[in-house]
Amino acid sequence: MEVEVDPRLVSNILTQLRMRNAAECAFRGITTDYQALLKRSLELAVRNGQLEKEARELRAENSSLLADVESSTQAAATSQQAAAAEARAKELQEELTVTYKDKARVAEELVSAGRQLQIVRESNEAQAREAAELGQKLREARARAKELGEAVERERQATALATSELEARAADKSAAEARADRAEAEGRDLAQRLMEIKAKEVAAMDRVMAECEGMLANARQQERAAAADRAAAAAERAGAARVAASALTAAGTRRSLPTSALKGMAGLLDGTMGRREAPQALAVASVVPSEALRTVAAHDGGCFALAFERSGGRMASGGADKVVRVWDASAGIQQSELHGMPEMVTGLAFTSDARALVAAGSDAALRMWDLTSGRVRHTLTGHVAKVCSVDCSPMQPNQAVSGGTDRCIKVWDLARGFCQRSLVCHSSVNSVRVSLDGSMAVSGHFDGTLRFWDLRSARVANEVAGLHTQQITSVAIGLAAGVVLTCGKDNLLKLVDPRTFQVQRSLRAPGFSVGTVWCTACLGPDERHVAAGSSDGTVFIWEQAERSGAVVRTLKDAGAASVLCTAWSPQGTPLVSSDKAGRVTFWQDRAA
Amino acid sequence: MEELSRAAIWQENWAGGVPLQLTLASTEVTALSAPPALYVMGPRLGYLPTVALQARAFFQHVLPPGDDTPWFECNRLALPWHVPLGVLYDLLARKRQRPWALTVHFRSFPRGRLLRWDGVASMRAAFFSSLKEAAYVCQGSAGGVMGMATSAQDELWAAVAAGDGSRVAAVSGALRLAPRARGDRRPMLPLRIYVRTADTEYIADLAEAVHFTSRPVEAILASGAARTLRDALSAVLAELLPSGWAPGGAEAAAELGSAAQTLQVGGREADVVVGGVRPPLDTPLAWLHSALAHADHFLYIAVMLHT
Repeated sequence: MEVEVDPRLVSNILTQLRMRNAAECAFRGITTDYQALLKRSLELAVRNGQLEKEARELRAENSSLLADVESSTQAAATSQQAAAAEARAKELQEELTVTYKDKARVAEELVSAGRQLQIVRESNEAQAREAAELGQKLREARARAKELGEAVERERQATALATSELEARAADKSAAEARADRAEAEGRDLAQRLMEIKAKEVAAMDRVMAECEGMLANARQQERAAAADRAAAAAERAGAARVAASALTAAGTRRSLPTSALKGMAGLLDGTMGRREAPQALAVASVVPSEALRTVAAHDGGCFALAFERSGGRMASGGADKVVRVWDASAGIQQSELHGMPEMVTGLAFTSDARALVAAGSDAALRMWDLTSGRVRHTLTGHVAKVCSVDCSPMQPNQAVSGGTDRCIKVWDLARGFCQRSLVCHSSVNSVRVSLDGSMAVSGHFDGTLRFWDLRSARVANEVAGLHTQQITSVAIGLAAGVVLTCGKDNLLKLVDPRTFQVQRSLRAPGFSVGTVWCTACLGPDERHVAAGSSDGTVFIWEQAERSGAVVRTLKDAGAASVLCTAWSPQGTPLVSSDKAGRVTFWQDRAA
Repeated sequence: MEELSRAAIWQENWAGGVPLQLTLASTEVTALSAPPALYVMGPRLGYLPTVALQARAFFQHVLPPGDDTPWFECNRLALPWHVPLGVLYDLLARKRQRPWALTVHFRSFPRGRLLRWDGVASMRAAFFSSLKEAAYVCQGSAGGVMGMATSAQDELWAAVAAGDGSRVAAVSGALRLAPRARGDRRPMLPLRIYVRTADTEYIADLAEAVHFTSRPVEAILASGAARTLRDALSAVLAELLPSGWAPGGAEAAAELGSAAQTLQVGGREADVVVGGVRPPLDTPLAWLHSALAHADHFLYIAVMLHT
C-alpha cells in the first residue's frame, strides 16, 4: 500500500533520526573501546595471576637452590673432618662390637628376668583371684548374716504379735469363764425356782388331796346316810352306792396328776436345753470317708462347681470345659451330660423337686435344664458380669438365687424364667445360698463380709462385717439346723449361727491353705463334720462337735492338683471333691 | 526519491542504539570488590536479553553458582524483556539519560512481576508470536509466517538479534507483509501504543503507570483520506484511558494547528515518540508504519503525559 506523503515531513523525520543517532550512537565507539579494554583488563588480570603464580614458584625454587648451595658449602667444610671422623668411626665400630656382645648377654638376662617376672605375675594373678573369691564369699556371708538378722527380727515381731494375740485370747477366755459362771449361777437360780414351783405344785396337790379327803368324807357320810336310809327304800340305796363309786374314781385320777405334770414339765425343760442336739438326731449321720472310691478326669481345665440333689441320689459337676455332668452319686458313674453353656460353669444347683438343674456361667447368664429331657428350658439373663454362684430354694421349687461380680443378687422365677428381684450391694458376691426355710439368702462377699437378706422385703436382714480378713470364697448351709459355714481366703472356716448371727466356731489347720476364690467347703448332713480342700490337693475334715474343732482326717489322692470344691452327700456318704486339673474324686469309708 | 528516503530512514532507524550503563546487582557479587560497571550499546530495535548475553561474559567470573535468568532493573522497576529496548528507553528514561543506568540481575528472577523466562527460546517464541499477530492484521492470515522455512526463521531471528536492518529487510521482504485492502475492508495497521500517565522518575508498578494496547487500526479514513497519527491516537486514547483522561477532540487539535507538535490529553500535554523521534502529528499513519515499524512489523508508539 502506497501513501502520498509530504517530502518535508520525510526529511523532518530523517533529520530527527539522524540527530538521535548522532546523540546516542556517539557512545558506540566509546562502549566498543571500553568493552575491548575491559576484556583486555580481565585477560591481563588473569595473565597477571598466572605470572604471579609463576613468580612464586620461581622464588620458592630460588630459595631451595640457595639452601642447596648453603648445604654444599657446609659439606665441603666437613670433608676435611671426614678422615678424622672415619678413624673415630672405626674405633666406635669396635666399641659397638663389644657393646653388641654385652647387649646379647643383657638380652639373655632380660629373657630370664622376663620369665621370672611372668611366673611372679601368674602367682600374683592367682592370689588376686583368690582374694576376689574370698571377698565374694565375705560379701555373701555378710548378705546371709543380714538376711538372718532380718529373719530374726521378723521372728521377734511375729513372737510379739503372737504374744499379744495370746494375751487377747487369755482375756477372752477369762471373759468366757465369767460368762460361764454367770450362766451356772443362773442355772442354779432356775433350779431353785423350779424347786419352789414344784413345792408350790406339791402344796396345791396337798390342797386337792385335802379336798378329796373332804369329798371322801362326804361320800362316807352319804354312805352312812344311805345305810341309814337303806331301810327307807331299796331302789334309793342302789343309786347312792353308784354316786359313791364315781366319786372314788375321780379322787384316784386326781391323785396321779401331780407326778405326770412334773414329768411333762421336766421334758419341756430338757427340750429347751437340748434343742441344738435334737436335729442331729433327726439328720442322717455323716460318714467320715477314708479312701477314694473313684477318680475321674471329668472337666478339662478345672472343675469349679459341684452340687448334690437334696435326696443325695445324683450329683452334678461343671467346669471350664462348658459341660455339666450328672453322676450317680453312690457309684461315682456319669449318667448324662448337659450342653449349652457358652462359657465356664461357675455354679450349679438342683431345684428342690429335683426336676431341673440350674448352672451359672461366666457369660453373665444362667441356664436351666430339664433333667428328664436334658434340654435347656430357660436362659436367665440379667446379670451384667460373671455369675459366681447359684442356689435353689429348698422350699419353693420355682425359686433360685444367684450372685455375681456385678455386685448384684438376683432372685429368679424358674417357672417363667424371669428375674423377680434384684438385691444390690456394694461388694462383689462370691457365693450365695438360700436358708433352710427359704426365707433368707446368705451371701459371702469379696470384702469378707457375710450378709443375710430377707427375700420377702429384699433388704439386708443382718450382716457380719469383717467375718474374714480376706474375701469369702464360699458359703454353705447345714441341712440339720441351718448353720452357715463360710470359707475365707484367710485360710479360716467359720460357722455362724443363723439365729444369733454369732460366730460359733473357727476352724483352721496347719497346712490348710485356700488356693483360689473357687474353693468351696461343705458340711456333713448332720453338721458334725466340715470338709474343705487345700491348695496342696489335700481334703481336710474337721469334727466340729462340742469344743473340739479338730482335724479328724486328711485325704490325699496321688497326683491331685489344688482342690477347688467339696460336696457332701445328704445321705452321709460319699464325699466328692474336685480339683484344678478337672478331676472329680468320690471318697467313701473303707468299711462301707 | 521517496523510496530512497524511506530506505534511508529504515537504515537510520536500525542503526539506532541506546548507550547503557550496566551494574551487576550487589546481591549477586561473590567477589571481594564489585566488578566495574559495563558500558554497552543496546540496539533500539533489539531486546534486553540479547544485551544480557553480552553482559554475562563480563560478569560471569563473580556470579554465584546456579542457572542464569537475566533480568534488568531501572530505578527498582523490573523491565519486561519482551518490549523492545528503544521503546522502554523512550517510555521510562524521562530525562534522556545517556548512558541509561540499569541494574542487571542473573539470579532470583521475579516470577510474579515479569513474564515467565525459560531461556533465549522464550525470547524467540515471543518475537515470532508477535510477528504472527502483525501478519494476521496486515494480511488477514498468519500463514506466511507459519509457512516459513526453519532456516529462514533462524536467519530472521539471527538478524534481529544482531540488529542488522538490511538483513531483516531482506528476509521479511520475502514474507510480503505490507498491509493491503481485502475486499471492501480497508487496510489495517498493527499498532502497539504505550501511554505513560505518571510523570515521575520513580515508578512502583509498570501496569499502573503505563497503559498499553496492541491493536489493528485502519489506515484510511472513511472519507478516503489517509489516517494521520493524530486521528489514530485520538481514537485509541479515548478508548484506552479512563474517562477523565480523554484526549482533546479533533476540533481542539485543529485549533492548535498542524504546526503545533503537541497532543492534548485531558488538559495535559503529551509527547508522542516513535523510535526516539517526535514525528509531526499529521504524518500519515501508513507511511509511518512502513518507515519505522520494528522487525515484528508492529509500529510502537510511546505517549508520555506531562503534568
